[in-house]
Amino acid sequence: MSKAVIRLTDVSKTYDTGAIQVQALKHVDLVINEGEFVAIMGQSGSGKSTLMNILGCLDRPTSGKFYLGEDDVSVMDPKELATVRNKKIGFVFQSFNLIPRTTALKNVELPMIYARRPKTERRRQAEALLARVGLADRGDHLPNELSGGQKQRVAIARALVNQPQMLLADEPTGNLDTGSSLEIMELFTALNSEGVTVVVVTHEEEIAAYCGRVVRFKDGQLISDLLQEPVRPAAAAKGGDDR
Amino acid sequence: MTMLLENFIMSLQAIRANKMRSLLTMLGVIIGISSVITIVSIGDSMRNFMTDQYKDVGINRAMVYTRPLDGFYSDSDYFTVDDLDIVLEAMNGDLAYADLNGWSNGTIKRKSLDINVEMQEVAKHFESIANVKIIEGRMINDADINGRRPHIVLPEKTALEIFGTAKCTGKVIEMEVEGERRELTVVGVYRKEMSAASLMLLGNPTAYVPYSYIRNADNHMTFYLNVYFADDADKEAGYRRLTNVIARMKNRQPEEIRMHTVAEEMQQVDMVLGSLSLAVGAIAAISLLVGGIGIMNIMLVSVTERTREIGIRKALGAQPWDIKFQFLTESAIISAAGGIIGTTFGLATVLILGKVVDIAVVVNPGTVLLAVAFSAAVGIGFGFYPASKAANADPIEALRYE
Repeated sequence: MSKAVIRLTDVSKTYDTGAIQVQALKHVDLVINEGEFVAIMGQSGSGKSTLMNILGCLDRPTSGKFYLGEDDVSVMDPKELATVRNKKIGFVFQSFNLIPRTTALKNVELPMIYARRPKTERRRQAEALLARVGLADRGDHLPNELSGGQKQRVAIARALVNQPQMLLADEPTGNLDTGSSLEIMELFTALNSEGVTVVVVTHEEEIAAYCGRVVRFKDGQLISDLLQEPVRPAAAAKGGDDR
Repeated sequence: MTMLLENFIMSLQAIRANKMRSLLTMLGVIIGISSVITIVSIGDSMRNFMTDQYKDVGINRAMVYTRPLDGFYSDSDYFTVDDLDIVLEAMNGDLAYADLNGWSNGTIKRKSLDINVEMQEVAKHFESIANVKIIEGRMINDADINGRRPHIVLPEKTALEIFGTAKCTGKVIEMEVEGERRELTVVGVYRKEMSAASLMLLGNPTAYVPYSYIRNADNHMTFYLNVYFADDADKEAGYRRLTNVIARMKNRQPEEIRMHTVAEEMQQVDMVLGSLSLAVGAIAAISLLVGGIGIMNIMLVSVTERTREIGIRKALGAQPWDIKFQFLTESAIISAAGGIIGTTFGLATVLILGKVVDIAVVVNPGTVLLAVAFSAAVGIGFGFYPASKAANADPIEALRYE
């Protein structure tokens, strides 16, 4: 049996808005192993965004335990959480979230800057990852000079630079056209086949179809957890222009 | 170290992205720093100028007089020529020179415009204390005074006015002094470099004549005694001794002798000018404070505007300190740049002003250093609150910010 990357035990999250208490997550148990490609699905309000925040170490559970690899995240302070986000998690967002007015290369370097890695090493790693996502020649472009699909690929390169334990993608294709969406999912599939653990939060069945496992949420509760045969990207989509 | 450099680069990028805004924010610091430097330097230059003027008048100089009893002067309260010798002898070398503070005006009649010559009536040993540069002939000497010779030493300007040349020793001037016609032979011409400001304050340089020629020396009396202490004399002890000597001479109590010393007056003026420039400088420093608040204001706007960026950076693993440092660097750069520009501007203003009024400019390096250090402190101080606000932002909220 492979190693667990994520281990949630009886995790609940309650938001205290003063007048009423909202229980966004109710007693969730979930284990994700190394090398898995998991889709987390649910309607809005299902608690999947809350789960995403907790998995991404942006937030802590109100109760229950959350282990990321060997580390108990539920007891960490903000500084330790920042270190975990930096070294163990790669974020990919719906709206790309590249730093404006900063070149693609610099954007990719950023997590390594916060990890205090030396300049030459940063440059080499960033260039290698831009090449890996097929943007070797776009390093000196600013985000507003890139198409949506290219931005998202820069974001994926950025997410991977510190060799995280898990890639966490929040509606990664939400702002992309069909062609670009296909390319991004294809990229995730390729990365996953190289051993990267990928967790995608989505509400689109077509996206979830690429994953080997689909976890569904409703009203803050885990309602189903199924393994499936993932869709392999069509060979025709390979190398397609995303503009 | 790399972090420092990266922060610096990121901050420059952010400042460049908002050029106009950054410049306007800097303006507050620029105005504050330049006005502090200008005002303090003007004050220092004024003090320096005044000190120079006093040195010119003679820092060793003092005026002595006796206070009238019951509001009336008796004949013995006045000083006579004989008193000069007594005082000089009694002071035993501590006093370099003494005269009766005499001045007279000569008028040279001309067809077009009369020439006015102001003359200082000098006494024995004047040669040794005269702080001027002789360019022709010689100074009035003791022989001139003892012999009551009709000799005169002219300032260069007056010589040019009368003769059209400074080479006029041996020539005779005819003039009217207090209704009497006098003939004076020029024995020397001196030169004195004076700035426009000095001229305004001290007036034209005067001619020198032996008092013994102009005055009927034997029964001439004055109210003041004009004395110069020797350079190496202990001033405080000298003042006391002179007071005692005159008190004894005039048969009065030492408390009844009054003395104005140039050194004392200089100290007072220096103190007044010093506190004045400090007070005005403090007011100027308030504008620096306003500049600092401007920086805080714009940094708060910047933090709000870039909430999402802060969220992204935090999600990517930036420590709170990284975020805080980034914004602190930004505000420090704005204020330090403002400080440097303001210093340049202030120094330029002072130098130009100095040229215009023809005064030697004094710029205290300490003032400049203090002003720049203060501006950097303002940037960091006022940047602290916005930077902390950014550092403590909740990453989830920040990422959601539109």
